[in-house]
Amino acid sequence: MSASSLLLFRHAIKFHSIRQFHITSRVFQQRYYTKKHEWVQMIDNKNEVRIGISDFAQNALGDVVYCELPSVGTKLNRDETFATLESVKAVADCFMPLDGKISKVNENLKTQADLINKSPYKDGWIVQAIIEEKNKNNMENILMNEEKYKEYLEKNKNAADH
Amino acid sequence: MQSILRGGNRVLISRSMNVYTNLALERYLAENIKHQPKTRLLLLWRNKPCVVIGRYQNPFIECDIKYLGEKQIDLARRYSGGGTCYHDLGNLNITVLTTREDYNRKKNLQWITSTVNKAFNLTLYVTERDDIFLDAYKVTGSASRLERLYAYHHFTLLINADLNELRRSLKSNDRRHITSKATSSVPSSVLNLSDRNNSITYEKTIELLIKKFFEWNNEKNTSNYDYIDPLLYYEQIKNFENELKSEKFLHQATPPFVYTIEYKKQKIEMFVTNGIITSIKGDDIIIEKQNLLGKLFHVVYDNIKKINTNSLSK
Repeated sequence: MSASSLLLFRHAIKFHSIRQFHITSRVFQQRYYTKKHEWVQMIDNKNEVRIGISDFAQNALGDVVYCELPSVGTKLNRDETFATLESVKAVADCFMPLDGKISKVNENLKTQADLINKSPYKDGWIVQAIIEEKNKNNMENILMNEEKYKEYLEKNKNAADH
Repeated sequence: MQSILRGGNRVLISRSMNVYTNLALERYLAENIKHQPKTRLLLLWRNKPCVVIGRYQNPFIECDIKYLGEKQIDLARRYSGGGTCYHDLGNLNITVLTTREDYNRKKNLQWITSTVNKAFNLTLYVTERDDIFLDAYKVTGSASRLERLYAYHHFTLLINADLNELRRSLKSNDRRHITSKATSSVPSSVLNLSDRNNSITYEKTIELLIKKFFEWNNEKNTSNYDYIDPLLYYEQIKNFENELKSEKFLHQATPPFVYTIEYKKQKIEMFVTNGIITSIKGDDIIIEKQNLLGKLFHVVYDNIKKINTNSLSK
């Protein structure tokens, strides 16, 4: 290829790949964490979030064998139980990071509860919820971002085992 | 009344032998006590003969419901997870209640094994599943419940229970009929502590644990233990007790399952969700189908068994 057509070609590819990124992938923002090891993540810049438990939490729980999920439409406040998990070690509640109304539950967990262990941040998501605008903008303040959560885990390394 | 909910390192021994009352008491204390960090509450209790299943188990898989009815053995579902156990007056229940952060099963079990081993010259050990074994036999099973502010770990200790009754009660003929995602028990051969050291009794064990509990917690106030009669707190615990006794909690909290029978050489499948038969699949529509759809499974259970038996006898 000539130098100029190569330049144009490279430019076209660059442009094309950016376009593809916007069209084909849902944009997931960064995750925020609670002290009880739940994570929350915005979906697509709307007022909907995805909620699950962190890798630390799934490891502490052990193999999840059963999930009790909420009904779609349930309104819950921050810190209220949105799901109960049974692992080989315990029955443990999961708590809402923010006020929200349940919009979707991960149906796959009904037959594959251990998705929570295998993929806590992707396929093992637990519920989706609609949250208020004001809380959406306040997540940085009320919850921990990725870095702060890592520090939190370090500090609590000697915490009781589960 | 207030004093029963105070925090700190304490031991409480229940005077009740009713499993529903004791489970309700345990939950009431867990939810209402002002838990102090780095302290523990030890609750000691025992029940007259009963079978206790875990929160997400299926009673038809775990025990012989008909036998329990005949022998008037209570059946209860607890709030914590884990498997099924048989209780009688020779089986000690131990609950360690703490803040969520202080929850530590291994520490609790290690305390029990070292305490009992020393006092009674035994060789108990803790397994990976948080059971306690004596040689190849299980003497303790664990279960837990983790809430936002508190957590409890409770476990049994077989001192001198009726093991024949235990085996008979936990034998289910329905296992092969049921497909489900309910949590299943991991069965083990069991043993009483008194089989290895016949000087061990329930009373001696209680005494020992009360004394050693305060040492374990470096607690100077060694008289911080009380016998509690749950009847005095009936008003406070009655909501939990009624829930635990209810057919709704016992049967309708069972995870969805399919009950399969054979009728005239054809397979009939009954789909049960929230305790209700929601649909029936099979090539022949059996005469009783109208009487089963939409009904509570545990109520029509006897009729279902009859259908299966009738088809086999033909």
